[in-house]
Amino acid sequence: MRKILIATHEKYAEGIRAAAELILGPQPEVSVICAYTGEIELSRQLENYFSACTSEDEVLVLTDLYGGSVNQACMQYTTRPGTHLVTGINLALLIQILTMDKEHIDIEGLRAAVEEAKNQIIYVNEVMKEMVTDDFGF
Amino acid sequence: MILKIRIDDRLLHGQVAYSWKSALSYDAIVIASDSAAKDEVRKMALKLCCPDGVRLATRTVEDAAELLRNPKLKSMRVFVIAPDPETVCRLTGLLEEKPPINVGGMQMREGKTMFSKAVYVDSTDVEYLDRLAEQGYTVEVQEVPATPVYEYQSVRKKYKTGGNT
Repeated sequence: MRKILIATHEKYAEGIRAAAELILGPQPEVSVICAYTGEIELSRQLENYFSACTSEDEVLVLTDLYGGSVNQACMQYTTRPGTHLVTGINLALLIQILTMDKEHIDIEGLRAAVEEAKNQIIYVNEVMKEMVTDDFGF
Repeated sequence: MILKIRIDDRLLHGQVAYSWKSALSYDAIVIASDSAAKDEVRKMALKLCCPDGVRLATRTVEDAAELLRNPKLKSMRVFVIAPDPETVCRLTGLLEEKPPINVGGMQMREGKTMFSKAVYVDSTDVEYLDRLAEQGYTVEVQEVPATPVYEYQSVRKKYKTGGNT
């Protein structure tokens, strides 16, 4: 089964999951790790999560910041078979991922979703300068 | 041809745009709203919700009617949106076509009472909806294609408060 772990600094993971669930409804396969918020250290939280996974589970790990310590800690687990790591997540990416195949990680689909999510980061003022609001020339 | 006129005070928003797109496969949206037509930023925000490949125009009621009467639109599948029943009455008065009217969404505001789950009305709204029904328009209450559709008169009968003077 495909599982998703969102691991971030502070409560970003919890918040982005809540936002996705508002749009898509409950997502039981999504777990979160809010690093540096409690007494359990991050490496232990990750250990706990992965030890609860079976060898059949494919795990997609989503983190917040490429150069961040949470992503560094998660990189250790990319050697686990069926484990994939994506960083710099946004709500567009999370929604896209949650609407994909829930049995297996669709690697091609994941690549496309990452590219599409990059395009969803937009400086709106710039776009507004060139926007045409009426498509009828008459 | 006009497939439907939808009453929605939020005009165009993502979920509605896409759900009706798959149900009606429209290729153009004409929004008739005097206030939105004069608000450049609002028009841009509406544009963000417009599905790819669909033409969009936000115009005043008079300009929308003129556009909708244009022969070029006869071959297009057009979805029309207006904010309230009064606007629809003004618009239909300027059109020859008699498309079905979809009462989609009118948010709760002071002085309005619940008509259906997503529709809150005051006596003026009901007056104009009654007028449309009397003029022979098919008026239906439905949020999105996946939710049940109710015939206007059946909802109207259940609606006791506020509707009668």
